[in-house]
Amino acid sequence: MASLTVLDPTAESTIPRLALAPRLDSLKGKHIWFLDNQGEHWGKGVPMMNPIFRAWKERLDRDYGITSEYVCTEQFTSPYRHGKDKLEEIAKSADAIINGLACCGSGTSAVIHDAIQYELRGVPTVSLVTDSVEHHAKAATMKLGMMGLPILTVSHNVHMFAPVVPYDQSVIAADAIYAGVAKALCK
Amino acid sequence: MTLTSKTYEVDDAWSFLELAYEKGWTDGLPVAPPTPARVAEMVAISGRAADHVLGLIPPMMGKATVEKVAIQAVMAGCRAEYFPVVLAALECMLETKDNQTFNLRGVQDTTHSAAPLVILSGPVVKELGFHYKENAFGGGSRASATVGRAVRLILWNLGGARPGETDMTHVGHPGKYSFCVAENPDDSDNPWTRFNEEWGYRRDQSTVTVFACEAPRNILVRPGFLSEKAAGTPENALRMVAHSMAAPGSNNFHLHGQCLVTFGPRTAEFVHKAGWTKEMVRKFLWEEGRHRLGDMEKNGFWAPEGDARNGFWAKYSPWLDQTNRDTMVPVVESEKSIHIIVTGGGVLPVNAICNGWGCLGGYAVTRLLEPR
Repeated sequence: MASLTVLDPTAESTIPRLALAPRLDSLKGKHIWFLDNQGEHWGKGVPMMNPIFRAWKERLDRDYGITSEYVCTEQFTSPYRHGKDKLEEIAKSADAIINGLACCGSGTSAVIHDAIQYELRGVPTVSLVTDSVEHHAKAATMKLGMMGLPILTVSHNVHMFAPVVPYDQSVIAADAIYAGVAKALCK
Repeated sequence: MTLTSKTYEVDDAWSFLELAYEKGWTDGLPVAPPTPARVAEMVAISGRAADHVLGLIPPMMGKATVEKVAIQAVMAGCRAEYFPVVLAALECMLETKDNQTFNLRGVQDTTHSAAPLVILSGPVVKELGFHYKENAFGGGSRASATVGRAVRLILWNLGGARPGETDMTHVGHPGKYSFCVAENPDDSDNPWTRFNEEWGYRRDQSTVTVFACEAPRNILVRPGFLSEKAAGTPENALRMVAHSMAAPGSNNFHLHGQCLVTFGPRTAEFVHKAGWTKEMVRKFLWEEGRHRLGDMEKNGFWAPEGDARNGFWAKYSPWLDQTNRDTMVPVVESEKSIHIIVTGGGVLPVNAICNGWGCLGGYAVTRLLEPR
């Protein structure tokens, strides 16, 4: 016979079920922001997008005539990686966002967190993660309430050693998942 | 008092433990049954309403009401009078004054082994029985063990930290079960400015600090070097500590940030008797806990900015001259980034270093513990 009453220690989840932003009809002529975590390290001390984003930008320019801007950060482990003011500024000017690279624990949850912030402001996003943290990224989308947040996955090795991976190899990796960019951002 | 948590009926404490394992309410260690009476006692001592919300705990964003936090404290085995310390520790972790303070989401998710360390300073240490002598970071005191444990259960049950899913730490450390240390309050052992005073409070005020860091690493200074007869000098003793603080491989080494150095009473006494204040000690550690850039390059620890080998795993303070191979590279951001307390046994000159998470977060945050 039960003789002890105990209380449930788990918390009421405050995570709402969040909806994705409306997707675009097309990428043609759109203004796309690239949000890069560690971009400045790929170049010789000069800010420069990571090779996969660079490859995508070239193809998006060619295929859709996009305009684009990018921002990188060293504070890649905190939510609002580029600052709250910058987030609002980007959300106002962007038609779509390409976001990443997520390759570690805190960095992945920050990437997913920020993607959701843009989606909530009506800007469609796609986030690039490595295969080593893909499960973590998917868990983060669930924990943050936005199931189905678009994620594209690249080999962890291509990313972690990207500075010493020949650019051509990065382009091959970028090309392999390029079709997913438009699919994630458009209807 | 009205408690709103869902209730379960169990036969006894052992049945509750089985239920806790089945439900995933613990990370593996046993937990005590959170009965309504015990939880109500905890809530009452806080002076706050049971449904008062302290914040949301990432990554699951569980709502940390006073009631839910009290449940964790009971499960951890806390006495009711420890509860204000647990609440203050939680408030430290939830600090979001700027984007680079504690960063609890990052601390919960990181691949690094940082865990929130609770640091007590002031009268509370003796009043509640936190231990500060032998086994300072280990077991032996109910207050130290259970306050640290309550913090972990908050992160587990309200934050949803789960290894491999949301908690991505690669090796972790035993402090992820319970991590709490207290500053030695005895004038006979601790000659220096106290930790609470360094945060702007009075010595007779109690403070709770949380700092996310790696496990403590033992630093023995050879006793002979504390002997004036053997020509021991404070510099001898402190250089050993500084070099240990700067050991390659820690996140401090790669990413600066903050660290915690704990001095045992014997080292503190020797250094103090030679006329060294805590501020002088900190300055010495800051200046000596460095590596010559050229030596780092030779050992494969550093490459010029923009070199592919750096990746993003090297973030030095912007003022650092990386064009000169004779530059001495520190392992923390600034002199003030070295936190110092006196704690531990006093037989031998044993000290410790807890390296931080680097510039990524986990920075020390302190709260005043209001008198009861």
